[in-house]
Amino acid sequence: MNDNEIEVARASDDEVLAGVRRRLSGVEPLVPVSPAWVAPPAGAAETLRRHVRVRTLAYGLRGLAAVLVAFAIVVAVFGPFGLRSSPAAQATGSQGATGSQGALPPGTTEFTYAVDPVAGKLPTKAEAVQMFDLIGQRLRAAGIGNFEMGAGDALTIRIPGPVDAAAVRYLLGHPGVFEIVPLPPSVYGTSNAAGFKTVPVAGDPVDPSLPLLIADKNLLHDQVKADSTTGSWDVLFSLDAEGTAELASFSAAHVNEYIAVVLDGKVVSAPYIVAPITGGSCRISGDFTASDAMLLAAVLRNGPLAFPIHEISASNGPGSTTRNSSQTAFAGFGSSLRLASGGLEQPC
Amino acid sequence: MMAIVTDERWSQDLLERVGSAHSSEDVEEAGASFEALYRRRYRDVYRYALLMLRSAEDAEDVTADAFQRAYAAWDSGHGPAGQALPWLLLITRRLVIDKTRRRRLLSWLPLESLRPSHEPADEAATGQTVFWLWFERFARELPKRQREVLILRYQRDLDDAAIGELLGLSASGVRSLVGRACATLRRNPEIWR
Repeated sequence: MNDNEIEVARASDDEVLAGVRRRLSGVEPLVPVSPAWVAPPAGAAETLRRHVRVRTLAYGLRGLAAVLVAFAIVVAVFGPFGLRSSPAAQATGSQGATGSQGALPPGTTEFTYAVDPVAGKLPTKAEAVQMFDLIGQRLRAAGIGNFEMGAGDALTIRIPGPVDAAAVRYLLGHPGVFEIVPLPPSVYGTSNAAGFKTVPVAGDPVDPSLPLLIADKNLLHDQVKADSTTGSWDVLFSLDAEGTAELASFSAAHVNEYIAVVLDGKVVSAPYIVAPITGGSCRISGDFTASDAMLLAAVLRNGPLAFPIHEISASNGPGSTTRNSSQTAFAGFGSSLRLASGGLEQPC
Repeated sequence: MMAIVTDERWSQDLLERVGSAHSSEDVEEAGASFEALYRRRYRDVYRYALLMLRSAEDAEDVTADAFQRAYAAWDSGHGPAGQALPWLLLITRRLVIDKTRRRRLLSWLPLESLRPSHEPADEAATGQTVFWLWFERFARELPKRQREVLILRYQRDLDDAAIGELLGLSASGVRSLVGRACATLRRNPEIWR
């Protein structure tokens, strides 16, 4: 210890703190004065309120199970009579008017979702908030920037203006679990020789007994994106180090064999391996339309929902327009998503 | 409550604080307009976000978001129970943590372009660079929580109890963190001299 250090060692906490404060004050020129305050419009506050209503949300979701059971009992006992006695209610049922939507502003569509318990448990407060954020990110990633979310006994999402209901249902209806499953050549054959089962196409459920090659945790969700630089719409994704190594060693040993890219247990694409995939970056190519690719990317990009949610109702305010034209295109990866085999390339 | 501050760069802030020192409690508690609170506390919130995130761009985002959320809460009758500053900083702190977490995800990615910027967005004046160079050094020496306590201590309107509430600690826990930070700093006099 030299003299200088001994002297410094004698400095009191107050001296040290005063010194730090003086140096920290260098930040002041970097701190701007407040820009003019613009209060968000009355409706917008509702969106933001979600973080404050965490408690309501958590208790509400916990209470939801009891409400649903009670509802099921009521429907089971009185439902058939009730519906028969009010055919009008039945007619509007497809739009899911719940009777509590009297205040829905004109031109607004409201979707209501219930949260499904996982292993008998509903989300905790923190998990509920995470889900809320994730759903918001998915909607924004798909270009639906203008929406409000609220949660009481159920999760409601209000979207003013024209809305593509099928897109919203696609985004919220998918838990978003990504997997890559090798399709054994003894069953499905290879690109050169057909197996005794045909290779699944988009939308087919994948045999749940097949072992996983890549699990959702190996996907770098942030890096998923829709891309059209090759002239067609593709979805790009990358794997973490572990996933990259797995895929590299597997693909080196299994050239010409099929693998299935799977979302929520359903095949998105089942290409065969053209060459070893060493970079961990892949491209799911096929007959995606721009919105197909963007929706798939939006679901994958933000990671899976910890708890699946299902739609209870959707209702429209007066004068709202719902674009349903593409509904069939998204229904559970319907027939419009025909994916070319051999579409897995690398690097992207 | 006001300490004597010698650095002249501080003087503007000092004036602001002195100017509103007596009225601060009224502004914060007597249901005055949110706009008044915003004007008064914007810099405090921004400063905290800037020092925690070390990026002007992120600090701006977080500050705007924090006030939006605070407004939504205020508007629905869930304003601060006591003083407004700890309440605002609590909202900001959550956003900062969220942002940091996201950044950590980003920094796993190998892409150069996605690396979080630890530099201030516009490296114009050398004064700024000097400050950030110093801050990097400061941040390197002190663990995150000790650093955060010192940053919060810099906000003169926060006492140890309020800081403790923010960090989920007792006032004595805060003091012991400060003590440990001082011990480290004492060994590195160039940081505070």
